[in-house]
Amino acid sequence: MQTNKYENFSAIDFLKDDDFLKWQLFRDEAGNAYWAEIMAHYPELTVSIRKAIDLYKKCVKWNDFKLPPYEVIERLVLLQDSIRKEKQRRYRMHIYWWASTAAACVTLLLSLVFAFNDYQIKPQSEAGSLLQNIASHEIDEVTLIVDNSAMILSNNSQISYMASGAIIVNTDNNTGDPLIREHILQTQQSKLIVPKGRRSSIILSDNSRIWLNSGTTLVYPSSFKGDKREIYVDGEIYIEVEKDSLRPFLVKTSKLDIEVLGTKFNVSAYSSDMEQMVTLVEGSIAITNSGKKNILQPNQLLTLSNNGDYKINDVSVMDYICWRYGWIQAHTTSLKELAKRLSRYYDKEIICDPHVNMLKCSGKLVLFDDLEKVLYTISKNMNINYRYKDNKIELFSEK
Amino acid sequence: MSAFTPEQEKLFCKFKEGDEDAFSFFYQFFINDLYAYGLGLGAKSEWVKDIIQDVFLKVYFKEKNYESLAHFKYFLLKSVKNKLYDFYKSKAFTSSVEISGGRQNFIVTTTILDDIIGSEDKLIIQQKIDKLLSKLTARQKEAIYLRFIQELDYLQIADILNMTVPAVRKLIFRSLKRLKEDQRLLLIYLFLLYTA
Repeated sequence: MQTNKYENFSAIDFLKDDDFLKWQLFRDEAGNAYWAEIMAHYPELTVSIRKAIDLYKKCVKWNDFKLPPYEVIERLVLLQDSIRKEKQRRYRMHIYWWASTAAACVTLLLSLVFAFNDYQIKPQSEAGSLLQNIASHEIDEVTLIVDNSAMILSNNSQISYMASGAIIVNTDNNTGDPLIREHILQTQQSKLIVPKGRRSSIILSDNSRIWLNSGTTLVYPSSFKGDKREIYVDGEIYIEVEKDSLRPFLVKTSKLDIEVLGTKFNVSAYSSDMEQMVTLVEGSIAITNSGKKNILQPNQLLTLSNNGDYKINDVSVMDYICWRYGWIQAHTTSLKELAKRLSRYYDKEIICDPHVNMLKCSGKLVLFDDLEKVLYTISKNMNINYRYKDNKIELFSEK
Repeated sequence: MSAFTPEQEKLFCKFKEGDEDAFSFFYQFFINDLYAYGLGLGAKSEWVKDIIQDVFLKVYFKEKNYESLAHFKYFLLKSVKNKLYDFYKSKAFTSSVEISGGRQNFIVTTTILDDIIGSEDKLIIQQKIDKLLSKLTARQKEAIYLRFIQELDYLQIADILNMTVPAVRKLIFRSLKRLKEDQRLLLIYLFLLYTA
């Protein structure tokens, strides 16, 4: 029999033994077998080994980080406080919905009484008035208007319309359950207003998904009736249209009608902008502008200028849809254009001196939550400076 | 083998029914496990603390359909990791720093407690353990940590690490193998024992 390498080992000696430590680390089959064998052969070691195992369990700690007990209590109290606030918020929302639903019912009844004979929904004109009656610059949070009542939503909220007609709103930070609103009136046009500095997304009742960029207003029906699906946009959206060959999908802007069956494309049609742009990612779309019809292929961009001229270019579509992922792709983009986009995204006025206006930049710009970081990146890369002045941001160069 | 006492299991039933005291108990019961795991994932203490609050706030308002106390613990650990990852994503610190596909670096800091072990011995033991651990990859450390320190089962670890169960077993097995450059010695030893 070979010599016992563990002869007279104490518990501490075992704790210093590599094989013992590995066994404790992994508690693997081979280790179990090996140490069982040792204990069977050398029963006198059993006590020390058992003691060593006990010591290891008690004393060897991985990442033994603990909060001091008083802090645990402190944080528990804070948590209970947040829970209380959240409960109150939910309770208020609940009351608010009931009240607004009741109000909407009364309104509908009255309108039926007064306009029963020649009542007819005229989507286009109604949408036009909806687009106008609340100017989006007066609103500073994402707002969903359903049945003549407004719901204020947090930034990056995701809104879904279920086939049943219920609306579910998921907030960005995922705290708590989604808000749910049921039994909405199906006849009404709904309106989603995303002010500057905010973003949102929505799933329509036909399962089409739309991402709304800052400063965008979208008008759509709670459920699509008839043989067409129609929505109205002022601003920028990226849309993935659910295929439905029986019901074409129509996106209307102040100047363009875009007709599709099932595709993915981006529309930038801010009424305040000189140009309106449509970029096609997948499928095919027909764009009509004052009677002229154009068919767009994937990776093509249609630009319509204010004077009615339009052109079609082949482009890299990612440049036009990357805002959805929180970054901007610039290809010899002028800083003027970039400043405009940033100003919309962050809801801060940005002005450039004439020299800066002329500068062109290329590359990927990550849109951090903190505008300061973005300005810092730009100023370092473009070798310009920025300062805050009367709540505006000035980009300027030193000669 | 359950790591929880019958009293805790009983309290867990109350917790599932929405009992406030039971909620407070489990908050205090798990906070340090979550805190330690978060720090192990390399996050700053303040972040981890905020994330834990978020996770519990969500737990409070959600339906509590956890199968068991062990399942609840796994859910908490996983939530902390996911939230931490979301947090990293939202704060993509500078334009030059990219997050590498969600792989967080898992760090293990060992400590030897207790006064029974003399300080000299403590130092030697700690050095030995650290030397063993230094041969493992971050992922192997995380798997071992979740298995033997947090006592999750393989299915749960596989889910947290985004791997299959056999892959996790292999990962742990491989780390064992890595430590055994002197494995042959052990085999010879076993062989001798059997033939003796």
